[in-house]
Amino acid sequence: MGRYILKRIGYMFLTLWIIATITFVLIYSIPGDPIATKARVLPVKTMEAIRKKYKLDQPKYKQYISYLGNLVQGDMGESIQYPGRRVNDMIKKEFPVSAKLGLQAVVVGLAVGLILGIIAAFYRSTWPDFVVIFIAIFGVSVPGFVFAILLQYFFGGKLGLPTAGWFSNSAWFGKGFRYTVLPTLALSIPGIASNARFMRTSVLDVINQDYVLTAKAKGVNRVNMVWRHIIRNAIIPVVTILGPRIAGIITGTIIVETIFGIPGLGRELVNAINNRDYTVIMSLTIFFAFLYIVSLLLVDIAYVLIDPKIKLTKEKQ
Amino acid sequence: MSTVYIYFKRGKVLMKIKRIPMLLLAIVMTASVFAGCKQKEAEKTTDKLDAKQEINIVGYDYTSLDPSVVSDAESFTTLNNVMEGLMVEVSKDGKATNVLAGASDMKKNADSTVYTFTIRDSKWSDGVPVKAQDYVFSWRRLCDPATAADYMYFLDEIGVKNGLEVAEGKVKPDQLGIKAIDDKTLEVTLAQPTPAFEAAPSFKGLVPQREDKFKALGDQYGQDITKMVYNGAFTVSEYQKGSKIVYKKNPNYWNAKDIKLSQANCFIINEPTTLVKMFETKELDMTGATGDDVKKLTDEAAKGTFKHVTGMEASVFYYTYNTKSPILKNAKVRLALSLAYDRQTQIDAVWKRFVPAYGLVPSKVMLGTSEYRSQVPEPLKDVKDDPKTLLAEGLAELGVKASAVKLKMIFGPATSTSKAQGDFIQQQMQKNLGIAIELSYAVDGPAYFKARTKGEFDICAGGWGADYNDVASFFPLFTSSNGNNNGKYSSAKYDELVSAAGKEMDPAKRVVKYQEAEKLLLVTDAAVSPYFYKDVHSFQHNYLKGMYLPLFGGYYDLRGVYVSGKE
Repeated sequence: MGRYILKRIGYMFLTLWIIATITFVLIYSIPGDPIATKARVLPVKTMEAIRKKYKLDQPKYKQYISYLGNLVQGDMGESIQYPGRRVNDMIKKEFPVSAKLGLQAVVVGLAVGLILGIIAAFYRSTWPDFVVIFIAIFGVSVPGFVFAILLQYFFGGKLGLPTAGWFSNSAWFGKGFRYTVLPTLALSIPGIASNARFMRTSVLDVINQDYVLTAKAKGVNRVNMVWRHIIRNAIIPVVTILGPRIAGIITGTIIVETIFGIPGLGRELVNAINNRDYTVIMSLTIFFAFLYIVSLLLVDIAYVLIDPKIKLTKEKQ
Repeated sequence: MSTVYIYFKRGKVLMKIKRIPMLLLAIVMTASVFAGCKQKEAEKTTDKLDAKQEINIVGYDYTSLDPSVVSDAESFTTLNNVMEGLMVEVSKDGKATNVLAGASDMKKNADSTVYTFTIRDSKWSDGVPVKAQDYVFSWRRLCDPATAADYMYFLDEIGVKNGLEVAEGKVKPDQLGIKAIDDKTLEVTLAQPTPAFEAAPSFKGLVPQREDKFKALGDQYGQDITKMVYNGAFTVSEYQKGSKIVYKKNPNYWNAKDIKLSQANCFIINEPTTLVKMFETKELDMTGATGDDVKKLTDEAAKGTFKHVTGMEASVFYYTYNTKSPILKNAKVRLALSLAYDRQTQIDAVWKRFVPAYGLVPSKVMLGTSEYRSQVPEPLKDVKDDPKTLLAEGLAELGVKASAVKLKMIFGPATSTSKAQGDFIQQQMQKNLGIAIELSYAVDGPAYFKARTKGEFDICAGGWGADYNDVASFFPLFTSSNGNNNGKYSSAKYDELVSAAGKEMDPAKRVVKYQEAEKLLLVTDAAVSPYFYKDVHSFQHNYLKGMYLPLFGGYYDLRGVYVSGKE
């Protein structure tokens, strides 16, 4: 297992390097640079002075090498749009916001999705089942930002839920919690939908297995049966899609953060792209890629913990 | 006080004291009657102040608190409220004028080349007195090439001696025409008399700065709100990027006794529909609006639910014609295009707001002591030529047929408004002139600006907003050497008129030059075709009073704000 993890980490660095290079090439191929993003054209000398300050006048390969050099040392660079703001600080301040929101959405998506899936499976072909299937299809087909806007329109300013904005200096589960409610709901709906569907199929599969029949014959009650026998087996497909789910959450936070005015990393990335803020775009892209790769690794490890039958490496039988 | 006396004594003292209150009452009543009459701009100052003087409005991420490096309206908004320069903009008699603020007096010499400012007794938020040297340090930084400021050439534009030479690196910043005679006296020397200079001291890039803070904070200067010092009416007490900015009253401000607002919570939210929703639920006390929300809120405000404040912006939007392109190098063709569409119809079809423009300069922009527009009527209004005839003549000179003409018109990203605008022009040109327009939408803002700068168009749309309240901030835009002259219009006569007008101190002579230049630009040469001036719509709840929306430099000024009637 240890060797496996090391191998995965090695692949991770290789992947990150490839992503960094591709992103670099792509960004520099978009017309416009940070200086030209301003509507007002600056005098030639001014633009030269600014370019020199940010080393944009150097040949591309030099910029690439110096960027990679800094990255390896842990310095993710300075924003061009916001002079004096370092990307490391941005991440330090804003990543916890996006992460907590994302985590909350994953948890809600899992919890609600699993419950709905189990209910649907147990009550197959009756009305609870149809309701859940409807929710699942609806949640997967309607884009996330539509939910975000609808939630904001109908619930913003009511029931004590703010329309938009974020809190500072207070605990997540204290006074600030109400700011997280609508965004979390908006983020978790696609998760609830797909988790419910997968769970439903999976539970239906498991219910028909012999060991469940045995448990029922032994007199195990419903709740225990679900908890001890069914979930652990049925959850594998759901864990499989957890990886892509996390990717979906990361991209989803971009939209939700913009609509609800949340100071998170997703919104930061969109702004940076609009402003052609090269350093920020590069660093945040690599950071998101890093997050995604790490979560995939964690999911794979979770597999082994849930079902010992699964082996991640080929071993001699 | 008189009441106390009445308690203790009766008889003689009662008689005496009783008369004074009656007289006082009469005076107060008469005064309030007259005060009530002049209600046009000032709110009734007899409003009772709420106990809690706190407001919630929209906020903006600033790029930096360093006045020398910023150029965006968002940063200017913050600087407007936390820093103060020699002068500030206020509204007087319906005009946006500068009044003395950081300076308590301004004198100039006989030929208007040397200005002497007396620096008012005032303090920074950390108690250190504001000195003339703070202004000197700040202005030098602005034009120093090492700062790489967007407004590096601003001091040259307003005529300060050596402003150009310092920016180009020919002389050191300490050669700039600004000097501290002593702690309380600032002397500015101009290269030649420049009427625009007197409108400039309220520009936010010219506020004082503390050299000791700049040296101590290094690259955190302008980023760390707790370590920056402020000399304005408010301080930045809290800032969460992308979320919230909080202004608190600055107790060390020289005029703190007149500042009634104690705190402003500014929420940084970009979605216009979200802002309108928050305004309706009273989570926000003030909002702007776009598109259909403008009409919706205007109708609601007419019922008295909340206030609708309107005004003009100091900006003009216009079509630029590429004077170097094969068809549009002919002035008659350009004028024909400029006359061939109806501006009011365009407004009704596309934006449903704004004011049709037939000139370069919007109203409210001053030349001397009165608005330029009230002295000079808009030139395009008087032109009676028939566009079709003009086009025919122009094309004949070029030797081209109307059916062969295809002009490329570029826009920013395709939105419902930009598409509507493109379709409208395309249709109008086809109908009224019989020529084809090819529309092209850029993938985003920066890509559009790049195409525009490179001249990859026949027609493009754009706008210009001025930095200070003088017509001189509009006209140089179209001189041959200006980098923002996207159509590459080049006229020696225009350059000469604008340059001469920039030095002419006599307003009567000056206005004649600008009038001639405007006619040359828009009619004779028709280099650009103005189509609207921007208006401002602000919706405020009835309990929010005294909000000032400045014409220049930022979105709001909180100095006069107070809350009355919320509780």
